[in-house]
Formats: sequence, structure tokens, C-alpha cells
Amino acid sequence: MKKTLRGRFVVALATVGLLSTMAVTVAGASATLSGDLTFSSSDGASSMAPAMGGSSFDEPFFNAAIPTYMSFASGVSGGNAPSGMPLYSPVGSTGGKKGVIAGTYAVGASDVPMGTTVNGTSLDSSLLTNADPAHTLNSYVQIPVALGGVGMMYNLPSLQKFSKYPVILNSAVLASIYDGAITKWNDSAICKLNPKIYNFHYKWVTVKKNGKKVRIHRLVSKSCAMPNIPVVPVYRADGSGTTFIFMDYLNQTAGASFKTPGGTEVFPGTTFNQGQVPSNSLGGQKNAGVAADVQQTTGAIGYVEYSYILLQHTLPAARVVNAKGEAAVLSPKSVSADAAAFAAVPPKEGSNGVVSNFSIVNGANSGDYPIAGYSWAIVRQDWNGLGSFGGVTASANSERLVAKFLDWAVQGGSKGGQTVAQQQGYVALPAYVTALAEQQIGTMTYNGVSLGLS
Amino acid sequence: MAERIRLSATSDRPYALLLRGAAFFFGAVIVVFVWSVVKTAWPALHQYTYHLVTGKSWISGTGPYGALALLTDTVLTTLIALAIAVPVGLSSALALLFLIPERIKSFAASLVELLAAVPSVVYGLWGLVYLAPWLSHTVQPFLAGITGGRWPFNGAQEGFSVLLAGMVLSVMIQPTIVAISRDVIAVVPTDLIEGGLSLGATRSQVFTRVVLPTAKTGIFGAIALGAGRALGETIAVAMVIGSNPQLPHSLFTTGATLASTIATEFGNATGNAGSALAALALMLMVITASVNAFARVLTKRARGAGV
Amino acid sequence: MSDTLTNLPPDPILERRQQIHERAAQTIGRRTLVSKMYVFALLAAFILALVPLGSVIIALVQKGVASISWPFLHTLPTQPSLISQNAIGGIGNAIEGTVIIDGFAGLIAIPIAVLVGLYLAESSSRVANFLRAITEIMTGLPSILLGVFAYEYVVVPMKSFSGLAGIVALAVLMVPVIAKASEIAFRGVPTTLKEAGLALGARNSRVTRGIIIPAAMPGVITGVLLSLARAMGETAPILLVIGASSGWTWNPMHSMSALPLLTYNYSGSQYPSQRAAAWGVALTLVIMVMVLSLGSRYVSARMRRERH
Repeated sequence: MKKTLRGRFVVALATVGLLSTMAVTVAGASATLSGDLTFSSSDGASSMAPAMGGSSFDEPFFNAAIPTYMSFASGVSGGNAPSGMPLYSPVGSTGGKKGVIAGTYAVGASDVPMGTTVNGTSLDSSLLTNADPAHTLNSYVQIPVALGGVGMMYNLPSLQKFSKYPVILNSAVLASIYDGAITKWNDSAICKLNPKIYNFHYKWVTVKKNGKKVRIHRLVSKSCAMPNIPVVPVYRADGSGTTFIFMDYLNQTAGASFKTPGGTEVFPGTTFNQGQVPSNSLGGQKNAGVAADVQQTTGAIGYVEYSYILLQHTLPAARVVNAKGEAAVLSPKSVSADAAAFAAVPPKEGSNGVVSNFSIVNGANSGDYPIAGYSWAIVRQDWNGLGSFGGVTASANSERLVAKFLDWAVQGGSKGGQTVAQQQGYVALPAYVTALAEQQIGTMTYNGVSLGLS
Repeated sequence: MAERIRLSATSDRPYALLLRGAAFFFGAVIVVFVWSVVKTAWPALHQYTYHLVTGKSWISGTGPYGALALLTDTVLTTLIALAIAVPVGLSSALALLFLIPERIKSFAASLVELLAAVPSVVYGLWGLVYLAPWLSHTVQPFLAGITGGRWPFNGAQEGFSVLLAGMVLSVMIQPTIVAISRDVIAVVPTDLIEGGLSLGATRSQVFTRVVLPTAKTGIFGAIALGAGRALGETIAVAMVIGSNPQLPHSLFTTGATLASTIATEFGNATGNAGSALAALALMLMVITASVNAFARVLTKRARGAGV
Repeated sequence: MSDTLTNLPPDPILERRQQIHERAAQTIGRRTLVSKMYVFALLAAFILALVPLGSVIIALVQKGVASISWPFLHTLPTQPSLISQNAIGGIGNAIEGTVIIDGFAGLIAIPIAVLVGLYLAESSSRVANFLRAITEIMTGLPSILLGVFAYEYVVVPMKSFSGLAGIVALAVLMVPVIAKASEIAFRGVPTTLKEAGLALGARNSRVTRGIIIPAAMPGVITGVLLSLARAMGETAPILLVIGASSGWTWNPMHSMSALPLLTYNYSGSQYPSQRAAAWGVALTLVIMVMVLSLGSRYVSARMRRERH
């Protein structure tokens, strides 16, 4: 008996291997998953968990919007109500575009629309050429989903007693910080912008006033209270739309004076790179990584979406000088004012699929905060023939469910997704942008037939 | 009788086939694995040729892709790791073999092995949360202080740096160096050691003039194995080095290694960028495979020679 | 006679010996001191080598225990937001994902690896020597390379991140480790035992099944458990391929969650609650890895004892 058991050992090992391989395959074939977050559709054709990912600027929004939508949906009767959706993966804007092209995401998100051309080169040339040649930019629908400001978060503990006066910076100083021309926080350019952050030295002196001798406390000197420590610029190490918004701002305001340490003009892009940033800078992963790096490093400054600043109760965001010359505080109100400055030239999609007028940095309104931008969800326009991709099996039904979610996400009002966005520190999309979003979603088709969203 | 043996040998074919089949399958997987990296790297190799290795600037997303800074940082962090781990590791190996009392020897040895069992992401977390602040508040000011901030201890004291990456790596390669050098030192003939002692040599003299020289080859093998691990470590390095691909100006500069760059950029790399990252993977593969092969030759020779 | 003796020329050897004695007597103090300091330095270095281990363990216990609770271990994660920053939920699905990915990787790797180990142990042909060298080199290759491999060959064709891709990456990672360990174990079986079997007229396969495998079992099991432990802690390969999931994903064709990846993601989170929980995740992972590592020691020790 014992011998037979031993004898079967090799055979057993081999079968176990075979079985496990089979088990993996069989598991893949069975579509119904117990407990997994899925959509369950009325016709039973698919149960799906559409994967979404991209911009980390959008992460707080999507991660709050998905559960909210699910709880709304659970109150809706009818089989089309989705029963669940997986979390949003904050892999960065470039990662979002890559994912939706490669089909690993059903919905990608990017802070810079796909197909944007800067200084004569398309940011996404390598993305699109690598995709199925039958698909051009027009195979995708780009939908504005969030509006937010990018804050300059800094870590200067020695300015504790000046906490009423967040540091004021302008685009020239920011450009100099990121190209290495300013290396110390007490640089005269920074001091000049911050008259409140000074130490004042008084002395009791006796003066004659109306023939009487009086002792008064007289200002004898003042000195810049900015600390004499190195500035550590923190940038995004991964491809990022937040970086694009920030560089776009620097390029539009500081213009040709925004150069690399080597002296070449820097055009907006999704990455800062070696040669474009000073040698002591830190590269953070995603918005969260930048925020974490700033928090851990005295003297650091980094650019992150507003909600990341709200989270760090301890660290302030710099005030940034706007086009009107005011030192603007980052808030939903000032970001909204900035977006409103561009109401006359709303973003629109051209016939070739390129989105124009999406940039809203440095608006000309009074009270506006100049570093802000929209973020875009990107989906395939027609899912017919896509087979299984991004966690779903393509069908009119599954496409409609995803379109419904996006349609909800861009709506304002008490039940719309933009209310969730506001709770997370974003600004509700202006009505004309919501209209653009709805129009874009309306162009989604399955096998050429409109999805018929009501 | 002879007939019978041959019979049984022939009827044993399935067994031989099974073994060969498994070996062949595994060999094929390795070939596909290497091929997948080469194939993905091909467009970048074709476009950038030797500039991939000698180019100084690494611009992710758009190119150009030159890995000189990444290669330098990879080698530098490994050298820092070795500079710390080799003296400590060799001393530990000698201590484990000759100095630790017999009663607690196996316990002490398993403590060192425990170091190897901790996943690298945990070392990364530890480096991020504990070592980085300690470095920026204590170690870096101290080093800059005693040298007057001269090279290589100049620059910003941010914690995150090639120095920090090297320190974390030194902890991670410690167990490899201890285990292998302990093995090769253990086979130094007792005659030699006792001969030395009987001539009146002290323990330190026996260690430095008899044991270490005799086990030299094997110890170099152990060091090479440790270096191989340090060169390829990914996550822990990515968490503490600062992800800033640049040629190091000092030990305090932030950087990025071959492996850490693949980990941090792969998620959003497409087309050429993805191909360039695969080229990094190929470089990493060639480097670590050569270092490992070299290490195996040395350790094998050491064990084979009986010393 | 005595006169000649006393007048003998000094014996050079004796004199040299005398000199050595004197010199040794002069230097013995210094030499023992140096030796003592040296020995002290060695022991100090050994203690120093253990400091990081102590520090890591203290950190894990200090920071990790606080976040571990029963709900933390068996519930699903939730996404914190500005209005509920501490709602991080649990790590149940990450534990589940780790076990599934590691387990399936093991199931695929073990049979192949053991057979490869047998082949390497039994054959010394040129092909076998080459494969042996390659196997040894594979054990030292950075695991991130396998992530690149699994991405190209599983994620891209499937158009989806999946646990399967992680399984493939880890299985390829485990095979050389197990193969090497089992080859050594198989080679350690005394030739006399094998020959005894063959002399009884048993076939090779019979000898393998009946003699070699049982005799080498402790070594094989140790290798298996150690490689499972190593694969469980790997972050780099799965980082590129398994995606993210917040649900109980039992189907490896979908995105999954895993402890090492969660540790990495939480460590860089913007939410302080998640950064704190990273230690809890890490502690859970370390405990699971340690159970396997220590288990391998226990199993092999126990099996050896039973044999004798």
C-alpha cells in the first residue's frame, strides 16, 4: 500500500500541474464571479467589472464617485443597474491613455486630451502609432469629467509664525525654482514677493515731539524671514497631466524664460526630466508621491491637485500671482473664476478628434487662481468587435452601462457626480462644459447604432 | 539476464521522456522569456544603438533614451552596498564559524537567515519611514560636517539619495554574503588553521593570514553574488532613491537605477518608451547574468578545490 | 672534553630559536591585544548586522500591530476620501489574492521544477550542464524582468491585467529555485541506495519513485516552501501585471490585489490612514512569509528525525 502511494508520487505531481493549469483556464471561462464587483446586465450576456485608470489628479474624484454611483444604482430598479465597479487605478495620465488604447482599461483618464500637439509634435504619437492602425483619434471619445486647481505645496516649518501669510510666488519664480536658477528660499526674488514674511527689528528711541520728549518703538531694520535653506523642487516622475498643466502655466506665463538648466526652452509635456530639473530635485510617483515627498522633506515644494493639499492639514499651498497681479489663494472659488475667464472660448473637439481650447491656465479674471485644468475621461467610441477587454465583454449593454456612469459623473445638481467632485475639493464643471461632455457621450455608438441614453 | 536489463531499460522510456520533456519545456520558457525582452527592446536598440548605453539624458515618454545615468547609479548604489555589507558580512561569517558559542550558533545563524526572508517591499517601507529621516537629520549633516561638505558629501540633505539606496541594499545583500562566505570559509582545512595556531599565531593572525587568503576565491564569489542581487533589486530602491535619473554629483544626490526606472515608468510607457524600458531590462539581464555566472564559477571553484 | 664543549661555536639554530622566543615574548602582549580587539570587532560587526533586523521587527510590531484587527484581516478595502479619511477598510482580498497567486504559481512550478531537478541530478550530458548553468543564473536574475515578460505575453494578448499574469511571472521565478534545491536533494541520495534498487531489477522510474524521491523529500519540501515564501514577498513582477481590485476576485483572469503591492501602494498614499496601515499590511505579509520559511525548517528537521 505504502509502496503504491510512493509509486504514484511522480504521476501525482504531474497531474497536479496539469490540473492547476486547467483550473486556471476553466476559471477564466466561467464568467460569473461570486462577490466580485461586477455589473450584472439584464440579458445576462455579461457580468463585468470595467477597469478604469489614469490621471491621479482624478483619483479622489473617481474613488469617491464610484461608490456613490453604486449606492444610487442599488436604489434603482431594473436589471441594468450595475452592482459594482472596481476601484480606479491612479497610474498617471499617460498610463490612462496607454491603458485605453491597449484595451487594459475600459475608461482611461488624462488631464491633457489625447492627440494634443505641442511645439509641432504630438504628445501621443507613440501611443497612437502603436495601436491598431484602423483606430485613429476619432475612434475615441474624450469627455471632460473634472475641474480642479493645481496647488504649490511647500514645507517650510520655520515659517510657522507667518502661517497667516502663505508664501506668494509668481510664474517667474516658479520657473526659476524648477529650472534651478533659484536655489535658496531666501532668494531676493522670493523675498521681494513676500513683504509680510519679514522679521522687523525695533528699538526704543527718545524723540522730540511737539517739544516733548517721548520714547517710541521705532523700526530700525527689517530682514527677510525666508529660511536660508535649499529649495527642493519635487516633480512627477511618471507621465502626468498634472505636470502638463503646471508646465503649460509656466510656458504661457514665463514663456521663453522657462528653460532647462542647460538653457533650452521647455515646452509643456507630461514629464519633467533629467536636464530639465535641478540636480537636487525629487521625483515622486503620482500626486500622492509628490505630496508625500514634500511632506517628508524640509524645503521642498511640489505641485499637486487641490484635494491632496486639503488632506495634508499641516502643509500650506503657496499663493500664486495671477494675470491681474493679485496673490491668489487656491480654492474652489478662485479655480472657478479662472475657468470662467475662458467661457467665451470653451473647449471643443475638432473633426480630427483633437480637442482644442482645453487649456485654462492664467485666466484674465480678477480673483482667479492661475494654475488649473480640466481632466478628461477617454473611452472607445464604438465597442463593436472589441471582444473582451478592460475587464468587460464588449456589448451594447456593457457599453451603455459605462456610458451611463460617465453621463452621471458629469452632471451637476444634488444627485449628479459633480456634487461628489465638489466634496472632494474640485469645482463643478461649468454648464457649457457639462454640455460638451454630454454631447461627447452622445456620440458613443455600438455597431454604428446610438446607445440611446435617456 | 543481459536481455532482461536492456528490456527494462527500453520500457523505461516514458520516464526518460518525462524528465527530458520537463527540462525541454523549462528551457523553452527561458528562451521565450529572453526573447520577449529582446523583441520588445528591438525598436529602441535599432533606433538609438549605442546611445542607449552612452547617452547622458533619459527623457521618459519622448526620448532620447540614454541610460548612462541609470547605469552609473546602479553601479554606485551597488558599490555603496558592498562597501558596507562586505566588511560586516565577512566579520559575521567569521564570528558565526569561530566565535559564537556552540549553544547559540544555530540560533544566531537563523537570525541572519531571517534577514533574507523579509520581503524587499518591507525593507523599502522601513527605509522610507525610518532611514530617510534619520539620514537627513543625522547622518548627512554629520558626514557633511566632518568633511566640511566636500565631495562626495556635498549637496542637499534630503534623505532620499543613492546613499540611502546603498544602505538599504547593504542590509538586503547581507544574508547572501554571510551565508556563502560562511560556506566557503567552513571548508578551509582545519589542518591549516591548527597549524597556524600551533605556530603561535593569534586568532586575528590566523583569520587574516590563513583563513581569508585560503578562502579568497569563494569569498569573491560571495561578494559577486551579493552584487548581483544589489544590481537587480527593484522595489526597495524605487522607494528610497528619489526617482530622478541623473548622473550623481555626490553621494547625496537623488537618482534612479535600471531596475527602479523599469518599475516606476513601465506603467505609463508606450511605443518607443516601452521599448527603451525593455532595453533597460535587457541591459539589466546581461549585467546580472554575467555577474551571477562569474560568481558561480568562483564559488564552484572554491568548493571544488576543497577550500 | 668539557673544554671543547664550552668553546663550541654558538649554534645558529639555537640562537635563532632564542631570538624568536624573545621576540615572541616581547610582542605577545601586543599581539594578544590586537587579536582581542579583532575578535571584539568581529563580534561587534555581527551585532551590527543584526541591528537592521531588530529595527525592522520593532518597526513592524510597533506600527503594524496597531492597525491589525480581525475586521482588518477579513473585510474588503474601502477608498478613503476627503470626507472620510480613515475609512480604509480591510485587506481581506489582498490576503486572498496573495494566497491564490502564490498557490497557483506553486502548483504550476512544483511539478515542472521537481522534474527538471531530477533531470539535472540524473544527467550530466552537455545539454544538462548547460541547463544547470542557466538555471543557476536564473535564480539570480532580477524579478522585475519576469514582470516585463508576463506583461508582454499575458497582459497584452489578454487585454487585461490579471492575477494569471502574476501567476505566470511567479511560477517562472520559482522553477529555478525549486529545481536547484531538488537537484541538490536528489544528488544527496547515496548512490548505494540507487544501485541496490537497480540491482533488484527495478527500472529507473521505479527507483526514482521508490527510493530517490522519498529519500530526497525533506530537501525538496524545504526548497518548495522557501521558494513559495520568496515568491509571496515579491512586489516587482506583480506590480506591472496584476492591476488593482477592491473586491473578492476568485477568478485569476481578472485584476487582483496582493499584500506586497498593497504595502507599496499604501506606503506612498496621500492618506495618513493608509500610510499607517501600510505597516499592518507589511506585518501580515511578513507573518505569512515567516510561517512558510519557518515551516520549511520544521518540516525538513522533522522528516530527517523520523528517518533516523
